[in-house]
Amino acid sequence: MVIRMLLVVVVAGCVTNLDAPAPPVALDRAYFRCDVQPVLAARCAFPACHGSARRPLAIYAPGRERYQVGWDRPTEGVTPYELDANFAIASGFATTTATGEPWLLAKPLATRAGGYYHRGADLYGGDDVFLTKDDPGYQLLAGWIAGASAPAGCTPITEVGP
Amino acid sequence: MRLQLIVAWSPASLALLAALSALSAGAAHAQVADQAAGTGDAQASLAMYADSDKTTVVTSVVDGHVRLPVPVTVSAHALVDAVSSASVDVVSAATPRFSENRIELGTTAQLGLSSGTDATIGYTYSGENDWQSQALELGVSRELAHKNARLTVGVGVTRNHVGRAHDPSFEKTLDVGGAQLGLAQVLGKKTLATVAYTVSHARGYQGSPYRFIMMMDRLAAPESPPEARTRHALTGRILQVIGRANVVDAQYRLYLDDWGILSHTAEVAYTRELTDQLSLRLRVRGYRQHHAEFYRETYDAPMRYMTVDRELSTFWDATGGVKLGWRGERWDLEAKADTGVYRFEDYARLRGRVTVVTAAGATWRW
Repeated sequence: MVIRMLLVVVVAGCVTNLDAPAPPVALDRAYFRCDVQPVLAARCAFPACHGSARRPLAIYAPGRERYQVGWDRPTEGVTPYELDANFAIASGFATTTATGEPWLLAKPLATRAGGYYHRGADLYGGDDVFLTKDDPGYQLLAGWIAGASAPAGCTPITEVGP
Repeated sequence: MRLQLIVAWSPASLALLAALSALSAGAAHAQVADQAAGTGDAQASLAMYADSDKTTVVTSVVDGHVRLPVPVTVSAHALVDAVSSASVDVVSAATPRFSENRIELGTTAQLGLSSGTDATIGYTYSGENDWQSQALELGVSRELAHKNARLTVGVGVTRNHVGRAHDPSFEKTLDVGGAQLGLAQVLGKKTLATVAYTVSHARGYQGSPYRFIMMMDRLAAPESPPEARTRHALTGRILQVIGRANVVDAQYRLYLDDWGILSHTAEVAYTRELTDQLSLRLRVRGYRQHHAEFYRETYDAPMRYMTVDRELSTFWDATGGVKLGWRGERWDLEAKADTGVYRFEDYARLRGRVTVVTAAGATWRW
Protein backbone atom coordinates (compact mmCIF):
# COMPACT_ATOMS: atom_id res chain seq x y z
CA MET A 1 0.00 0.00 0.00
CA VAL A 2 2.77 2.44 0.94
CA ILE A 3 4.79 1.57 -2.15
CA ARG A 4 1.72 1.97 -4.31
CA MET A 5 0.90 5.38 -2.95
CA LEU A 6 4.53 6.46 -3.23
CA LEU A 7 4.66 5.42 -6.86
CA VAL A 8 1.42 7.13 -7.65
CA VAL A 9 2.44 10.38 -5.96
CA VAL A 10 5.95 10.47 -7.39
CA VAL A 11 5.20 9.45 -10.95
CA ALA A 12 1.61 10.43 -11.55
CA GLY A 13 1.37 13.46 -9.35
CA CYS A 14 -0.85 14.21 -6.40
CA VAL A 15 -3.93 12.03 -6.04
CA THR A 16 -5.48 13.93 -3.18
CA ASN A 17 -9.02 15.29 -3.13
CA LEU A 18 -10.39 12.64 -5.46
CA ASP A 19 -12.11 10.84 -2.61
CA ALA A 20 -13.60 13.91 -0.92
CA PRO A 21 -17.25 14.27 0.05
CA ALA A 22 -19.50 16.22 -2.25
CA PRO A 23 -20.11 19.85 -1.32
CA PRO A 24 -23.06 20.21 1.08
CA VAL A 25 -26.40 20.27 -0.68
CA ALA A 26 -28.09 23.66 -0.46
CA LEU A 27 -31.42 22.43 -1.71
CA ASP A 28 -34.39 23.46 0.41
CA ARG A 29 -36.39 20.64 2.01
CA ALA A 30 -39.56 22.64 2.58
CA TYR A 31 -39.66 23.82 -1.01
CA PHE A 32 -39.15 20.23 -2.09
CA ARG A 33 -42.05 19.00 0.03
CA CYS A 34 -44.45 21.71 -1.10
CA ASP A 35 -43.41 22.47 -4.70
CA VAL A 36 -41.29 19.61 -6.05
CA GLN A 37 -42.74 16.44 -4.55
CA PRO A 38 -46.21 17.15 -6.01
CA VAL A 39 -44.70 17.54 -9.48
CA LEU A 40 -42.68 14.34 -9.21
CA ALA A 41 -45.68 12.45 -7.84
CA ALA A 42 -48.06 13.64 -10.56
CA ARG A 43 -45.80 13.53 -13.59
CA CYS A 44 -42.95 11.09 -12.95
CA ALA A 45 -44.00 8.43 -10.43
CA PHE A 46 -46.19 6.17 -12.57
CA PRO A 47 -45.49 2.51 -11.80
CA ALA A 48 -44.11 1.89 -15.30
CA CYS A 49 -41.88 4.96 -15.04
CA HIS A 50 -40.12 6.20 -11.92
CA GLY A 51 -42.57 4.69 -9.44
CA SER A 52 -40.39 1.62 -9.42
CA ALA A 53 -37.33 0.64 -7.40
CA ARG A 54 -35.74 -0.59 -10.64
CA ARG A 55 -35.16 2.99 -11.74
CA PRO A 56 -32.14 4.94 -10.52
CA LEU A 57 -34.54 7.85 -9.96
CA ALA A 58 -37.20 5.96 -7.98
CA ILE A 59 -40.02 8.06 -6.54
CA TYR A 60 -42.47 7.23 -3.74
CA ALA A 61 -45.92 8.74 -4.09
CA PRO A 62 -49.47 8.17 -2.84
CA GLY A 63 -51.29 5.65 -4.96
CA ARG A 64 -48.03 4.47 -6.47
CA GLU A 65 -44.79 3.02 -5.15
CA ARG A 66 -44.91 3.05 -1.33
CA TYR A 67 -42.54 2.20 1.48
CA GLN A 68 -44.07 0.26 4.38
CA VAL A 69 -47.53 1.70 3.83
CA GLY A 70 -50.28 -0.87 4.14
CA TRP A 71 -51.95 -2.15 0.99
CA ASP A 72 -55.28 -0.94 2.35
CA ARG A 73 -54.02 2.67 2.63
CA PRO A 74 -52.44 3.30 -0.79
CA THR A 75 -53.55 6.91 -1.07
CA GLU A 76 -52.35 7.93 2.37
CA GLY A 77 -50.11 11.00 2.29
CA VAL A 78 -46.42 10.60 1.67
CA THR A 79 -44.60 9.60 4.87
CA PRO A 80 -41.59 11.42 6.31
CA TYR A 81 -39.38 8.47 5.32
CA GLU A 82 -40.66 8.52 1.76
CA LEU A 83 -40.23 12.27 1.56
CA ASP A 84 -36.65 12.05 2.83
CA ALA A 85 -35.91 9.31 0.34
CA ASN A 86 -37.39 11.28 -2.54
CA PHE A 87 -35.47 14.39 -1.48
CA ALA A 88 -32.19 12.47 -1.37
CA ILE A 89 -32.65 10.75 -4.69
CA ALA A 90 -33.83 13.91 -6.46
CA SER A 91 -30.89 15.81 -4.99
CA GLY A 92 -28.50 13.35 -6.62
CA PHE A 93 -29.99 14.18 -10.01
CA ALA A 94 -29.95 17.92 -9.32
CA THR A 95 -26.16 18.21 -9.39
CA THR A 96 -24.22 19.51 -12.36
CA THR A 97 -21.08 17.49 -11.61
CA ALA A 98 -21.58 14.75 -14.16
CA THR A 99 -22.45 16.43 -17.42
CA GLY A 100 -22.94 20.10 -16.74
CA GLU A 101 -26.73 19.99 -16.70
CA PRO A 102 -28.95 18.74 -13.87
CA TRP A 103 -30.48 15.50 -15.12
CA LEU A 104 -33.63 16.21 -13.13
CA LEU A 105 -34.28 19.02 -15.63
CA ALA A 106 -32.59 17.75 -18.79
CA LYS A 107 -34.15 14.28 -18.95
CA PRO A 108 -37.87 15.19 -18.73
CA LEU A 109 -37.49 18.17 -21.08
CA ALA A 110 -38.28 17.52 -24.75
CA THR A 111 -35.16 17.25 -26.90
CA ARG A 112 -36.46 19.94 -29.25
CA ALA A 113 -36.49 22.26 -26.25
CA GLY A 114 -32.89 21.34 -25.38
CA GLY A 115 -33.49 18.33 -23.14
CA TYR A 116 -31.80 14.94 -23.14
CA TYR A 117 -33.29 11.83 -24.68
CA HIS A 118 -35.83 10.27 -22.31
CA ARG A 119 -37.06 6.78 -23.04
CA GLY A 120 -40.33 7.59 -21.36
CA ALA A 121 -41.12 9.91 -24.25
CA ASP A 122 -40.79 7.00 -26.69
CA LEU A 123 -42.83 4.65 -24.56
CA TYR A 124 -45.73 6.98 -23.96
CA GLY A 125 -46.71 8.73 -27.13
CA GLY A 126 -43.68 10.69 -28.21
CA ASP A 127 -44.10 13.73 -26.00
CA ASP A 128 -41.84 14.24 -23.06
CA VAL A 129 -42.88 15.32 -19.58
CA PHE A 130 -42.07 18.97 -20.19
CA LEU A 131 -42.52 20.18 -23.75
CA THR A 132 -40.98 23.54 -22.99
CA LYS A 133 -39.16 25.26 -20.18
CA ASP A 134 -42.30 27.29 -19.59
CA ASP A 135 -44.12 24.29 -18.17
CA PRO A 136 -45.12 25.10 -14.55
CA GLY A 137 -43.68 21.79 -13.36
CA TYR A 138 -40.35 22.48 -15.02
CA GLN A 139 -40.31 25.95 -13.52
CA LEU A 140 -40.82 24.52 -10.03
CA LEU A 141 -38.01 21.98 -10.40
CA ALA A 142 -35.71 24.62 -11.87
CA GLY A 143 -36.54 26.98 -9.04
CA TRP A 144 -35.67 24.36 -6.46
CA ILE A 145 -32.32 23.60 -8.07
CA ALA A 146 -31.62 27.33 -8.38
CA GLY A 147 -32.00 27.71 -4.62
CA ALA A 148 -35.63 28.68 -4.06
CA SER A 149 -36.91 28.15 -0.53
CA ALA A 150 -40.25 27.95 1.25
CA PRO A 151 -41.34 28.39 4.86
CA ALA A 152 -41.29 25.23 6.96
CA GLY A 153 -45.07 25.28 7.35
CA CYS A 154 -45.86 25.64 3.65
CA THR A 155 -48.79 23.85 2.04
CA PRO A 156 -48.11 21.49 -0.90
CA ILE A 157 -49.30 22.84 -4.22
CA THR A 158 -51.89 21.17 -6.36
CA GLU A 159 -51.14 22.90 -9.69
CA VAL A 160 -48.40 20.81 -11.23
CA GLY A 161 -48.95 21.45 -14.90
CA PRO A 162 -50.90 19.51 -17.54
CA MET B 1 11.93 -21.07 -44.17
CA ARG B 2 12.83 -19.99 -40.68
CA LEU B 3 10.71 -18.10 -38.28
CA GLN B 4 10.37 -14.50 -39.23
CA LEU B 5 12.23 -13.46 -36.11
CA ILE B 6 15.20 -15.66 -36.95
CA VAL B 7 15.32 -14.57 -40.57
CA ALA B 8 15.38 -11.02 -39.37
CA TRP B 9 18.09 -11.56 -36.82
CA SER B 10 21.04 -9.88 -38.51
CA PRO B 11 21.63 -6.32 -37.34
CA ALA B 12 20.93 -5.14 -40.87
CA SER B 13 17.38 -6.29 -40.42
CA LEU B 14 16.91 -4.94 -36.96
CA ALA B 15 14.06 -2.85 -38.26
CA LEU B 16 11.91 -5.93 -38.58
CA LEU B 17 12.65 -6.90 -35.03
CA ALA B 18 11.87 -3.45 -33.87
CA ALA B 19 8.62 -3.57 -35.76
CA LEU B 20 7.85 -6.79 -33.94
CA SER B 21 8.32 -5.03 -30.68
CA ALA B 22 5.61 -2.58 -31.69
CA LEU B 23 7.36 0.32 -30.11
CA SER B 24 6.19 2.79 -32.67
CA ALA B 25 2.52 3.53 -32.93
CA GLY B 26 2.54 3.68 -36.69
CA ALA B 27 5.49 1.49 -37.54
CA ALA B 28 3.92 -1.85 -38.21
CA HIS B 29 6.38 -2.64 -40.97
CA ALA B 30 10.12 -2.52 -41.59
CA GLN B 31 12.05 0.62 -42.33
CA VAL B 32 11.08 2.09 -45.68
CA ALA B 33 14.62 1.66 -46.98
CA ASP B 34 14.41 -2.08 -46.42
CA GLN B 35 11.34 -2.48 -48.63
CA ALA B 36 11.37 -2.69 -52.41
CA ALA B 37 9.17 -0.34 -54.38
CA GLY B 38 5.88 -1.94 -55.33
CA THR B 39 5.92 -4.53 -52.58
CA GLY B 40 3.15 -4.74 -50.08
CA ASP B 41 0.58 -6.92 -48.45
CA ALA B 42 -3.12 -7.18 -47.75
CA GLN B 43 -4.64 -8.80 -44.70
CA ALA B 44 -8.10 -9.81 -43.66
CA SER B 45 -9.16 -11.24 -40.34
CA LEU B 46 -12.27 -12.14 -38.42
CA ALA B 47 -12.39 -12.41 -34.64
CA MET B 48 -15.20 -13.41 -32.32
CA TYR B 49 -15.37 -12.48 -28.64
CA ALA B 50 -17.88 -13.87 -26.18
CA ASP B 51 -18.04 -13.70 -22.41
CA SER B 52 -20.15 -14.98 -19.57
CA ASP B 53 -21.52 -11.47 -19.04
CA LYS B 54 -23.71 -11.86 -22.12
CA THR B 55 -21.57 -9.81 -24.46
CA THR B 56 -20.46 -10.80 -27.94
CA VAL B 57 -18.29 -8.87 -30.36
CA VAL B 58 -17.51 -9.83 -33.94
CA THR B 59 -14.57 -7.91 -35.36
CA SER B 60 -13.78 -7.80 -39.07
CA VAL B 61 -10.59 -6.14 -40.26
CA VAL B 62 -9.03 -5.53 -43.66
CA ASP B 63 -5.60 -3.99 -43.78
CA GLY B 64 -3.12 -3.30 -46.52
CA HIS B 65 0.16 -1.57 -47.16
CA VAL B 66 2.26 -0.81 -50.19
CA ARG B 67 5.71 0.66 -50.80
CA LEU B 68 5.51 3.47 -53.34
CA PRO B 69 8.19 4.22 -55.94
CA VAL B 70 9.24 7.13 -53.75
CA PRO B 71 10.53 6.24 -50.27
CA VAL B 72 7.09 6.11 -48.73
CA THR B 73 4.90 3.26 -47.63
CA VAL B 74 1.20 3.81 -47.28
CA SER B 75 -1.11 1.64 -45.26
CA ALA B 76 -4.82 1.71 -44.61
CA HIS B 77 -7.25 -0.34 -42.62
CA ALA B 78 -10.95 -0.69 -42.04
CA LEU B 79 -12.49 -2.36 -39.02
CA VAL B 80 -16.04 -3.16 -38.02
CA ASP B 81 -17.03 -4.23 -34.52
CA ALA B 82 -20.50 -5.70 -34.21
CA VAL B 83 -21.39 -5.58 -30.52
CA SER B 84 -24.33 -7.16 -28.77
CA SER B 85 -24.58 -6.96 -25.01
CA ALA B 86 -26.89 -7.57 -22.10
CA SER B 87 -24.15 -7.19 -19.50
CA VAL B 88 -24.83 -6.08 -15.95
CA ASP B 89 -23.87 -2.55 -16.97
CA VAL B 90 -26.67 -2.59 -19.48
CA VAL B 91 -29.43 -4.31 -17.54
CA SER B 92 -28.73 -2.28 -14.39
CA ALA B 93 -29.65 0.80 -16.44
CA ALA B 94 -33.03 -0.83 -17.18
CA THR B 95 -32.09 -1.65 -20.78
CA PRO B 96 -32.62 -5.30 -21.78
CA ARG B 97 -29.96 -5.53 -24.52
CA PHE B 98 -28.30 -3.33 -27.10
CA SER B 99 -26.65 -4.04 -30.43
CA GLU B 100 -24.49 -1.63 -32.35
CA ASN B 101 -21.67 -1.40 -34.85
CA ARG B 102 -18.42 0.49 -34.55
CA ILE B 103 -16.54 1.41 -37.69
CA GLU B 104 -12.89 2.40 -37.71
CA LEU B 105 -10.96 3.71 -40.71
CA GLY B 106 -7.29 4.55 -40.60
CA THR B 107 -4.34 5.36 -42.79
CA THR B 108 -0.65 5.76 -42.14
CA ALA B 109 2.20 7.03 -44.26
CA GLN B 110 5.73 6.02 -43.41
CA LEU B 111 8.35 8.26 -44.94
CA GLY B 112 11.96 7.23 -45.37
CA LEU B 113 13.86 10.39 -44.50
CA SER B 114 17.24 8.66 -44.81
CA SER B 115 18.59 5.12 -44.81
CA GLY B 116 18.14 4.83 -41.06
CA THR B 117 15.46 7.36 -40.27
CA ASP B 118 11.73 7.09 -40.86
CA ALA B 119 8.85 9.36 -40.02
CA THR B 120 5.25 8.27 -39.71
CA ILE B 121 2.00 10.16 -39.83
CA GLY B 122 -1.28 8.45 -39.18
CA TYR B 123 -4.94 9.33 -38.98
CA THR B 124 -7.73 7.19 -37.55
CA TYR B 125 -11.45 7.78 -37.46
CA SER B 126 -13.76 5.72 -35.30
CA GLY B 127 -17.51 6.05 -35.10
CA GLU B 128 -20.47 4.41 -33.42
CA ASN B 129 -23.90 5.66 -32.52
CA ASP B 130 -22.81 7.48 -29.37
CA TRP B 131 -19.08 8.02 -29.86
CA GLN B 132 -17.01 9.67 -32.60
CA SER B 133 -13.24 9.80 -32.45
CA GLN B 134 -10.48 11.26 -34.60
CA ALA B 135 -6.82 10.61 -33.87
CA LEU B 136 -3.64 12.01 -35.41
CA GLU B 137 -0.27 10.42 -34.70
CA LEU B 138 3.23 11.53 -35.65
CA GLY B 139 6.40 9.56 -35.08
CA VAL B 140 10.07 9.43 -35.90
CA SER B 141 12.35 6.41 -35.61
CA ARG B 142 16.09 6.28 -36.12
CA GLU B 143 18.50 3.40 -36.19
CA LEU B 144 21.56 3.79 -34.03
CA ALA B 145 24.77 1.95 -33.18
CA HIS B 146 25.24 0.40 -36.62
CA LYS B 147 21.63 -0.71 -36.68
CA ASN B 148 21.90 -2.47 -33.36
CA ALA B 149 19.42 -0.11 -31.79
CA ARG B 150 16.40 1.89 -32.76
CA LEU B 151 15.06 4.97 -31.04
CA THR B 152 11.42 5.88 -31.55
CA VAL B 153 9.60 9.06 -30.58
CA GLY B 154 5.91 9.59 -31.15
CA VAL B 155 3.17 12.04 -30.29
CA GLY B 156 -0.55 11.88 -30.82
CA VAL B 157 -3.76 13.77 -30.23
CA THR B 158 -7.30 12.45 -30.16
CA ARG B 159 -10.59 14.31 -30.07
CA ASN B 160 -13.62 12.33 -28.98
CA HIS B 161 -17.23 13.39 -29.19
CA VAL B 162 -19.21 11.52 -26.56
CA GLY B 163 -22.92 11.24 -27.15
CA ARG B 164 -25.88 9.33 -25.84
CA ALA B 165 -28.06 7.01 -27.87
CA HIS B 166 -31.07 8.73 -29.45
CA ASP B 167 -30.02 12.00 -27.85
CA PRO B 168 -29.03 14.88 -30.13
CA SER B 169 -28.84 17.20 -27.15
CA PHE B 170 -26.16 15.28 -25.30
CA GLU B 171 -22.67 15.95 -26.62
CA LYS B 172 -19.48 16.10 -24.60
CA THR B 173 -15.89 16.19 -25.70
CA LEU B 174 -12.85 14.32 -24.52
CA ASP B 175 -9.41 15.41 -25.73
CA VAL B 176 -6.36 13.23 -25.28
CA GLY B 177 -2.74 14.11 -25.98
CA GLY B 178 0.13 11.72 -25.57
CA ALA B 179 3.76 10.98 -26.27
CA GLN B 180 5.87 7.86 -26.43
CA LEU B 181 9.59 7.22 -26.27
CA GLY B 182 10.93 3.79 -27.16
CA LEU B 183 14.27 2.11 -27.54
CA ALA B 184 15.01 -1.29 -29.05
CA GLN B 185 18.48 -2.69 -28.46
CA VAL B 186 20.17 -5.85 -29.69
CA LEU B 187 21.83 -7.42 -26.67
CA GLY B 188 23.38 -10.36 -28.43
CA LYS B 189 23.03 -12.63 -31.41
CA LYS B 190 19.78 -14.01 -30.10
CA THR B 191 18.48 -11.37 -27.77
CA LEU B 192 16.54 -8.19 -28.36
CA ALA B 193 15.38 -5.88 -25.57
CA THR B 194 12.95 -3.03 -25.84
CA VAL B 195 11.77 -0.43 -23.40
CA ALA B 196 9.05 2.14 -23.94
CA TYR B 197 7.56 4.93 -21.89
CA THR B 198 4.16 6.41 -22.66
CA VAL B 199 2.45 9.41 -21.14
CA SER B 200 -0.96 10.80 -21.97
CA HIS B 201 -3.30 13.40 -20.61
CA ALA B 202 -7.05 13.35 -21.09
CA ARG B 203 -9.41 16.21 -20.43
CA GLY B 204 -13.15 16.22 -20.82
CA TYR B 205 -16.06 13.91 -20.12
CA GLN B 206 -14.71 10.54 -19.02
CA GLY B 207 -17.81 8.92 -17.61
CA SER B 208 -20.72 7.11 -19.15
CA PRO B 209 -24.14 8.72 -19.51
CA TYR B 210 -25.64 5.24 -19.08
CA ARG B 211 -24.21 4.47 -15.65
CA PHE B 212 -25.78 5.54 -12.38
CA ILE B 213 -24.52 5.42 -8.84
CA MET B 214 -26.95 3.55 -6.62
CA MET B 215 -26.08 4.46 -3.06
CA MET B 216 -27.34 3.26 0.25
CA ASP B 217 -30.51 4.85 1.63
CA ARG B 218 -31.96 5.43 -1.83
CA LEU B 219 -29.39 7.97 -2.90
CA ALA B 220 -28.70 7.92 -6.61
CA ALA B 221 -26.86 10.10 -9.09
CA PRO B 222 -25.33 10.03 -12.55
CA GLU B 223 -21.73 8.88 -12.66
CA SER B 224 -19.29 11.76 -12.10
CA PRO B 225 -15.58 11.01 -12.60
CA PRO B 226 -12.95 13.78 -12.71
CA GLU B 227 -12.48 15.61 -16.00
CA ALA B 228 -8.69 15.32 -16.14
CA ARG B 229 -6.51 12.23 -16.11
CA THR B 230 -2.79 11.76 -16.64
CA ARG B 231 -1.47 8.29 -17.37
CA HIS B 232 1.99 6.80 -17.41
CA ALA B 233 3.13 3.41 -18.64
CA LEU B 234 6.54 1.81 -18.74
CA THR B 235 7.02 -1.37 -20.73
CA GLY B 236 10.02 -3.66 -20.89
CA ARG B 237 10.30 -6.57 -23.28
CA ILE B 238 12.80 -9.29 -24.08
CA LEU B 239 12.76 -11.49 -27.17
CA GLN B 240 15.08 -14.47 -26.93
CA VAL B 241 15.76 -17.03 -29.60
CA ILE B 242 16.46 -20.50 -28.19
CA GLY B 243 18.08 -22.93 -30.57
CA ARG B 244 16.94 -22.50 -34.14
CA ALA B 245 13.22 -22.95 -33.83
CA ASN B 246 12.09 -21.40 -30.56
CA VAL B 247 11.41 -17.82 -29.52
CA VAL B 248 10.44 -16.64 -26.08
CA ASP B 249 8.84 -13.21 -25.83
CA ALA B 250 8.47 -11.87 -22.29
CA GLN B 251 7.19 -8.45 -21.33
CA TYR B 252 6.13 -6.49 -18.31
CA ARG B 253 4.16 -3.27 -18.13
CA LEU B 254 3.81 -0.93 -15.19
CA TYR B 255 0.94 1.53 -15.41
CA LEU B 256 -0.20 4.25 -13.07
CA ASP B 257 -2.28 7.40 -13.26
CA ASP B 258 -3.35 10.32 -11.14
CA TRP B 259 -6.72 8.68 -10.47
CA GLY B 260 -4.80 6.29 -8.25
CA ILE B 261 -4.80 3.22 -10.48
CA LEU B 262 -1.65 1.14 -10.40
CA SER B 263 -1.49 -1.94 -12.56
CA HIS B 264 0.94 -4.67 -13.52
CA THR B 265 0.82 -6.68 -16.70
CA ALA B 266 3.06 -9.65 -17.40
CA GLU B 267 3.01 -11.71 -20.54
CA VAL B 268 5.05 -14.58 -21.85
CA ALA B 269 4.73 -16.07 -25.31
CA TYR B 270 6.54 -19.07 -26.66
CA THR B 271 6.71 -19.67 -30.40
CA ARG B 272 7.97 -22.87 -31.93
CA GLU B 273 8.53 -23.58 -35.57
CA LEU B 274 6.93 -26.96 -36.14
CA THR B 275 7.94 -27.23 -39.80
CA ASP B 276 9.42 -24.87 -42.36
CA GLN B 277 6.01 -23.34 -42.82
CA LEU B 278 4.08 -24.08 -39.67
CA SER B 279 4.53 -22.35 -36.31
CA LEU B 280 2.78 -22.66 -32.97
CA ARG B 281 2.55 -19.96 -30.34
CA LEU B 282 1.49 -20.42 -26.74
CA ARG B 283 0.78 -17.33 -24.69
CA VAL B 284 -0.14 -16.50 -21.12
CA ARG B 285 -0.91 -13.09 -19.71
CA GLY B 286 -1.70 -11.82 -16.25
CA TYR B 287 -3.05 -8.45 -15.18
CA ARG B 288 -3.70 -6.92 -11.81
CA GLN B 289 -4.89 -3.43 -10.89
CA HIS B 290 -5.84 -1.51 -7.78
CA HIS B 291 -8.97 0.62 -7.94
CA ALA B 292 -9.14 4.37 -8.54
CA GLU B 293 -9.05 6.48 -5.41
CA PHE B 294 -12.65 7.60 -5.78
CA TYR B 295 -14.04 4.20 -6.79
CA ARG B 296 -16.14 2.40 -4.19
CA GLU B 297 -18.17 -0.75 -4.37
CA THR B 298 -20.98 1.14 -2.68
CA TYR B 299 -21.29 4.77 -1.71
CA ASP B 300 -23.04 5.56 1.56
CA ALA B 301 -22.93 9.33 1.00
CA PRO B 302 -22.58 11.63 -2.00
CA MET B 303 -18.96 12.14 -2.98
CA ARG B 304 -17.41 14.75 -5.23
CA TYR B 305 -16.39 12.06 -7.72
CA MET B 306 -18.25 8.79 -8.08
CA THR B 307 -18.13 5.92 -10.52
CA VAL B 308 -19.43 2.39 -10.94
CA ASP B 309 -17.14 1.66 -13.85
CA ARG B 310 -15.78 -1.82 -13.20
CA GLU B 311 -12.69 -0.94 -15.24
CA LEU B 312 -11.81 1.37 -12.35
CA SER B 313 -12.32 -1.30 -9.70
CA THR B 314 -9.79 -3.69 -8.19
CA PHE B 315 -9.54 -6.72 -10.42
CA TRP B 316 -7.24 -9.23 -11.99
CA ASP B 317 -7.40 -11.32 -15.07
CA ALA B 318 -5.49 -14.23 -16.51
CA THR B 319 -5.50 -15.07 -20.19
CA GLY B 320 -4.00 -17.91 -22.15
CA GLY B 321 -4.14 -19.01 -25.72
CA VAL B 322 -2.72 -20.74 -28.69
CA LYS B 323 -2.03 -19.55 -32.23
CA LEU B 324 -1.21 -21.62 -35.27
CA GLY B 325 0.47 -19.93 -38.20
CA TRP B 326 1.23 -21.07 -41.72
CA ARG B 327 3.64 -19.08 -43.87
CA GLY B 328 3.77 -19.65 -47.62
CA GLU B 329 5.54 -17.93 -50.46
CA ARG B 330 2.83 -15.35 -50.91
CA TRP B 331 0.17 -16.33 -48.43
CA ASP B 332 0.15 -16.48 -44.66
CA LEU B 333 -2.67 -17.99 -42.66
CA GLU B 334 -3.24 -17.96 -38.94
CA ALA B 335 -5.83 -19.08 -36.44
CA LYS B 336 -5.90 -18.49 -32.73
CA ALA B 337 -7.97 -19.04 -29.64
CA ASP B 338 -7.67 -17.35 -26.27
CA THR B 339 -9.58 -17.74 -23.06
CA GLY B 340 -9.50 -15.52 -20.02
CA VAL B 341 -10.78 -15.34 -16.48
CA TYR B 342 -11.59 -12.02 -14.79
CA ARG B 343 -12.14 -11.53 -11.10
CA PHE B 344 -13.60 -8.25 -9.82
CA GLU B 345 -12.81 -7.92 -6.14
CA ASP B 346 -14.94 -4.90 -5.28
CA TYR B 347 -17.60 -4.76 -7.96
CA ALA B 348 -20.85 -5.94 -6.48
CA ARG B 349 -22.80 -6.29 -9.72
CA LEU B 350 -20.38 -8.80 -11.22
CA ARG B 351 -17.79 -10.88 -9.42
CA GLY B 352 -16.15 -12.34 -12.48
CA ARG B 353 -16.45 -13.38 -16.06
CA VAL B 354 -14.96 -15.83 -18.50
CA THR B 355 -13.99 -14.73 -21.99
CA VAL B 356 -13.30 -16.62 -25.19
CA VAL B 357 -11.72 -15.10 -28.29
CA THR B 358 -11.26 -16.95 -31.54
CA ALA B 359 -9.80 -15.44 -34.67
CA ALA B 360 -8.61 -16.35 -38.13
CA GLY B 361 -6.77 -14.30 -40.69
CA ALA B 362 -4.99 -14.37 -44.01
CA THR B 363 -2.25 -12.22 -45.51
CA TRP B 364 -1.33 -11.94 -49.15
CA ARG B 365 2.07 -10.49 -50.03
CA TRP B 366 3.36 -9.26 -53.34
